[in-house]
Amino acid sequence: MNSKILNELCAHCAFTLNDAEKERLVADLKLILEYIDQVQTVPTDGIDPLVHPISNGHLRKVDEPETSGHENLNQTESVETAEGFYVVPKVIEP
Amino acid sequence: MDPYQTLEQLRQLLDSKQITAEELCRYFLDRMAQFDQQTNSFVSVEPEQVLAEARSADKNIDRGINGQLTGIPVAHKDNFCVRGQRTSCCSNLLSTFIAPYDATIVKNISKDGGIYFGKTNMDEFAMGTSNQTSTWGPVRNPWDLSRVPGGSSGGSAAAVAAGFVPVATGSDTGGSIRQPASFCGVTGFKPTYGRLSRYGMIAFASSLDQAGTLTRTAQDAATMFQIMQGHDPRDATSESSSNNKSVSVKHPLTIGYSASLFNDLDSDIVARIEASRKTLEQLGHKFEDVEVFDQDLALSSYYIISCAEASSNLARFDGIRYGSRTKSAASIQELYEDTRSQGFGDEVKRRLLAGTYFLSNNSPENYVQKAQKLRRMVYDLYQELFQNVDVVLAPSAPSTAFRLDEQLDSTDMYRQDRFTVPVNLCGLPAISVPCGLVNELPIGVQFIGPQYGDELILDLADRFQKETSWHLQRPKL
Repeated sequence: MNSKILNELCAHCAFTLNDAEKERLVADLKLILEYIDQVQTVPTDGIDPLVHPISNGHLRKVDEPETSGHENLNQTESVETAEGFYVVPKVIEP
Repeated sequence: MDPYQTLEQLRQLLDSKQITAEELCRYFLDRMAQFDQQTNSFVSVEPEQVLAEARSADKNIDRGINGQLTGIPVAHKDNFCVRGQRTSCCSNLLSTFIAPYDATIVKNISKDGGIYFGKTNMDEFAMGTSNQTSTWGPVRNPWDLSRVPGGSSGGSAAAVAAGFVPVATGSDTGGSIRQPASFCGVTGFKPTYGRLSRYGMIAFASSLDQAGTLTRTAQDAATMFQIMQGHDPRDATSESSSNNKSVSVKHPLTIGYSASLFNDLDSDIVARIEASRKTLEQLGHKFEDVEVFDQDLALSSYYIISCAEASSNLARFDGIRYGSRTKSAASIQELYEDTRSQGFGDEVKRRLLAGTYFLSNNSPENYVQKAQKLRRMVYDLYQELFQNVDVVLAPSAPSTAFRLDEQLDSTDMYRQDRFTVPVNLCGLPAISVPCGLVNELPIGVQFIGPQYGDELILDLADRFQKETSWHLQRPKL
């Protein structure tokens, strides 16, 4: 972990950090990774990864279009909407 | 009026008209107004709305329309959506978010007559073990105001311990119900994954998150569980009610016990857990030595999986659909970055960065797949273990509540969860019950059951509490 990797991670996470935060987080993440890296010492060849605790998988339901009925209410929580759409800064430059 | 009455006792008071629901709610509101400035366990309460609901409950009681919770106040952790109420996850990013619908468990409690009392404080997005990462300030433990209540459901645990409400909901991703229950001297129940709907509970790590309760007694936890459970088609991981997989309740039990869990614990804590073992032996239960998975490896696996899932789940908070948004952003990227930079606190950023690292090409090994393989090993070990024992006994937390000003680094803080995370990795039910006081601070013991052994561990905890009085101890406010 170093400041270059941290900058790349920040870009993926879509947030920025000031210099003091960066310094602190590089140190923190180094410490955390040192602890986490013990997982690499365990032999796990041939073991199936477990992604979910429910063994019979997710429940299935009929594949029919449905609405939650909350569409209008959901939009009341946005800072800016117009005609049923969310308004954002211009995405496509002229 | 005694603020520490059980649901059954409150039901009797209400049904026999010794007290009205309005009087009961007014009593709890007054108590909270008097003492919560000290604990900061609530982040939003609307007294007029509580009293209006209580008056409506009184009319229902007069008409004989009674649920088990009719007229009884229930608090919800601030990550459960309650229609028309601020649901902030104690994050600055959602500090203005008003939920447009009810979470299913909120709806189930309301249907049974429970009165929505308010939202309890928590660690931001449920990421923490001390309730110090909330944007609304830390919660203080009612037993000692200089100490933390545990986390992330610290507000719910403190509110029940302080006698502000008889019951509160919580969520448990890696111990967030059981560890604060231990620190605050209350009963914390985390059911089997899938038994309670996650619909409307703001996600942290979806394959680990589970709703549950903080209550005075195991009997109250059982009552709440019965009311809150049921299949929910809106949650694809909600168990079908027709599965009928419940493990039968029986007595006496064979209880697994691993000495390796107690190696680095304070001798006073070990003594309290040993005393619990003796109590259970006197009740006729047999103990068998078992081997459990290495705690630090299980914790590392948990940390990788939870951070990876969180980095995906929290991508939705972009400033466009919910909560606050930076007004001055000139581009869409700037809007995302400014909103998230200002919205998320340090601990959330730390975990999102770690999760993104685990998922990214930067990592030297495939961390997530390695963690999932370890998860399989933990799961298989517990499956095998439950062939020989009915329940496993374990500490709930490695210490009593620590001081707010104590400097713990990130890994020390994460190691608070080392006794609780295996349960979440495997989707097991577990309950923490008070088992003693150490230096006048409560400590809990944990009963872990096999998948769908919820009723089994609730029954064991109830029998334990009938023989002990630790759950009746109260902090002095």
